[in-house]
Amino acid sequence: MINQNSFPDLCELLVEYQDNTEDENIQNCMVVLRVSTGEVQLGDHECTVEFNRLYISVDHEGMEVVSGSLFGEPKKPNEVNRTSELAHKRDTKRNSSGALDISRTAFAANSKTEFGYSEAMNQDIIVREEGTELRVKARPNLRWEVREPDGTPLNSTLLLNDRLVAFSKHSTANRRRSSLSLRAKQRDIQIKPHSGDAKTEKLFAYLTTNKKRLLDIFIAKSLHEAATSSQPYRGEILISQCEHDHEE
Amino acid sequence: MKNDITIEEIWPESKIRNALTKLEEADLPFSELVELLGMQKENDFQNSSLTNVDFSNADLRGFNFKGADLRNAHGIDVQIDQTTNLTGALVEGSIFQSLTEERALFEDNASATVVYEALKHGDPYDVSGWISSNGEQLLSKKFKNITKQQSAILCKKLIVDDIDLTKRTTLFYHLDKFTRSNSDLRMVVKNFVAFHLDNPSVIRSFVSVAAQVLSKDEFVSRTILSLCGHKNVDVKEAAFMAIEKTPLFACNIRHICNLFFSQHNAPVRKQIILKTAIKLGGTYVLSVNAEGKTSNLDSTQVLDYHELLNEEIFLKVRASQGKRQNILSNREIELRQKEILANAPVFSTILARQGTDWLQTAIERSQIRKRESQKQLNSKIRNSLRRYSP
Repeated sequence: MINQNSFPDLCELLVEYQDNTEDENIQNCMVVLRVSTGEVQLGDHECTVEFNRLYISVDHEGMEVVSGSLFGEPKKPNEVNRTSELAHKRDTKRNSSGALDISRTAFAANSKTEFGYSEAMNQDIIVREEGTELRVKARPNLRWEVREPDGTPLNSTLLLNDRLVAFSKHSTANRRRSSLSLRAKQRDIQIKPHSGDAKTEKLFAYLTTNKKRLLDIFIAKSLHEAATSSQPYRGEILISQCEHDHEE
Repeated sequence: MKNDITIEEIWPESKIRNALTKLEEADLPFSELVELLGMQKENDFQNSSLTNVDFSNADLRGFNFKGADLRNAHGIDVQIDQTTNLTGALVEGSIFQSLTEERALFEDNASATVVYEALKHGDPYDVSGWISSNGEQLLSKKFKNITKQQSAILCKKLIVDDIDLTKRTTLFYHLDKFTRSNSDLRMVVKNFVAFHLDNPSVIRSFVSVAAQVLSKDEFVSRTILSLCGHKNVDVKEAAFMAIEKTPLFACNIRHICNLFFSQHNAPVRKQIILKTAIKLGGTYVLSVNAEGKTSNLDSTQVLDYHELLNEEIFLKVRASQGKRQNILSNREIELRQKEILANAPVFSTILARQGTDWLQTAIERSQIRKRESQKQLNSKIRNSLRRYSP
């Protein structure tokens, strides 16, 4: 088993295969995935590197995926239970005061009274809807999408010795291997000024949208090249790779 | 793959700092910034985040944006072609949205090209009938299977193409039939200024109709007016001339005057003056240059607006005529310059709005000269025919 992590202090993917207790022909792929934000220096400036989404993909040879063994399978039941609550509050305020300008030529005296009428209405409408979302969601072709449902950066342990998938051995295969990789697309990597660092915030604010986008892409490409010099950059950074020869 | 090192150790700081320095110093279109940073357009932009990017004046031919997020990307004068890869890209709200819809339509539908050519080259009244009937009035059997959605895509493509005025006017008047919303309508205008500024006659036609029909739409007005500040002289000239007789011109007269008479629009003014002078005749051309030429004049050699109707300049122009047989007097130079301005697009409208007192007289005088010139020409032709008739 070879576990490789390009930026282990940002992303740690650890894979271990365990024999299934019920069937010795089946091996469970147990995974640990920890993701954190990182801080890096850019001259006098401090920046934060964050991941908004990651992809795990699995390749295998000489084995079959056990049906129903995928972690985070977003299977929807036929029946849909939905709870909706609508609360409508109405709060009415009325103010009144008076003013009337009277000017009578026949009389010397002028009197002035002011009046006005206003009505303010506040309406609160609350809609509540219940449902579930998955942080690690199985996608077609042995891929998993890892993201926070609310879109915030990943910064926690997403998998802790969870079975990602189970493989059964092909009786006729002469070689059994599997490979897991963890990747991030450039558009899912955020580089921004470290919170509270006014100098860096000023620098980034000064950059136009075009320049900021290009800088982000340049940084992602540079990171990829620093981590994996052999593979050409195609808009994705290979963060982790785990290869296992099941013959061992 | 390197293993077990921290992000700080692997962070290519000096490389990124160099890139940052280059970016801070440069003010270039997108494609030129890419070149400056040594990035590869074929590979580096796949799966990238390019939301809200301004692609104005960028050459995106050969760029691979596969899987990229291009939502709300915008710009004018953007060069693209079939080598610009937008497969799987997110394009909602961007200048590429219509393009990807078009590409999908033409790739998936063999008859789409035939139908489109029929619309582009077909009889203007038949095509206008199809547009105004929302596709009910068929031009041929091939139109039978075109869905409403496909019709909308074809119309949006047609409106920015090189078509005659009848079709374009009909398309604008029936925009609501093939645009689903205000943002869709604005997409038509965005698409036009992004990709179709290479043909001055299309610009004039599109802008004049848009300015007539959509002058009340703030986005459309702003976009059209921005063409009056474009870097290309021909685009600016076409834009100014196109909006001249439209409500947009009247509603923004002060801004347009400031723009038109600004220093950097001297080439536009000179170009208009020269073209008008050429149309009126050689003597008029002579009156607006200090080179003594009646033809083969470059617009840079023409007098600018503020140099016309100026006593000192009259002397220069007169002096430049050298030993010509018929030298124009100062008075004649002045009269002809006034006639040029009275007949020149944009100038004539602005001067009329300013209540210029000599304008009407100049117009009438130029018309009299034209009639007399025509009479002389007719007489010459008659005499020639008499000489050669049996």
